[in-house]
Amino acid sequence: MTQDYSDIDRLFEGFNPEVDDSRRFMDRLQARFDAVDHVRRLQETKLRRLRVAAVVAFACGMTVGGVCMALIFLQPAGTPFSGLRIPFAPLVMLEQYSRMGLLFLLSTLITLGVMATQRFMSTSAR
Amino acid sequence: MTRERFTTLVSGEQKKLRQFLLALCCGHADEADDIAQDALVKAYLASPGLDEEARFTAWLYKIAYNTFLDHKRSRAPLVPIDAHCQLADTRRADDAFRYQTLYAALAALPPKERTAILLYYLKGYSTHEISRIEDCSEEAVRKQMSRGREELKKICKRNDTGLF
Repeated sequence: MTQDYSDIDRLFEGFNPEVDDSRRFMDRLQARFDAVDHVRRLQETKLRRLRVAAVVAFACGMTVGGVCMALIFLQPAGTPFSGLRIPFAPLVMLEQYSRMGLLFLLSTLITLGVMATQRFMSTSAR
Repeated sequence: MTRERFTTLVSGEQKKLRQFLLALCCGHADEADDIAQDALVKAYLASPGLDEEARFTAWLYKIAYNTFLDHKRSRAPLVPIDAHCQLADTRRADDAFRYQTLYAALAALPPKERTAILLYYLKGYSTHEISRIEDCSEEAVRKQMSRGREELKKICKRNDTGLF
């Protein structure tokens, strides 16, 4: 069944609501676009600085890590770092694994250093 | 899309968009302009993702419609609906009054039906285009249109507005 909606059509005939000054509306809109562009630029700058910080931190980590590992492994394999000759099992074990322990300690320090650098850079980028 | 191009396209469409939102907000000009501003900023932010410039207008109306719905959800109505109905009681012949009466009738419609009716009558969009803007099926739009028209008829007759 087709409904007759001619009265509704008539209701909307000539319906042309007036809106306020278009120039003022566009000026207000342009001001908001300016604000959006400003925030965009700030975000891009921040992102760029964070990328640089990440690259610098990575390079520092690799260099320091490489130097430390080289220093450790340049030592003769059989040479313990401590010269203690005490027949006490825990100390003997510590002596045997001192190289690995030192490596672990250095890795942790480097990781913390990289994280601190990144944090510092992201804070200064704000 | 560059800002200049976007501004040019918006300049050509802003008046009709504001008229649509003004009708959707049932004559509340400040509210309609706030929604239009928010919608256009959202559109500006999303404009790099718009592939076809030919779809700009429909895309803009979709954003405006969604912004209107968000706005309705986030804010309690400032004017109770009864206040609109009281406006419809008086008989005046001038255009302003005629719009007030129409706004009062539109205010009684749910947002989706109101949108479908206005896009059809104000913008001359087809049910297919409205379904894309409202993100629903064409059948759903046809139902909204039908319900909306019946409701408008009932309200106008009940309030004895003299429109029929």
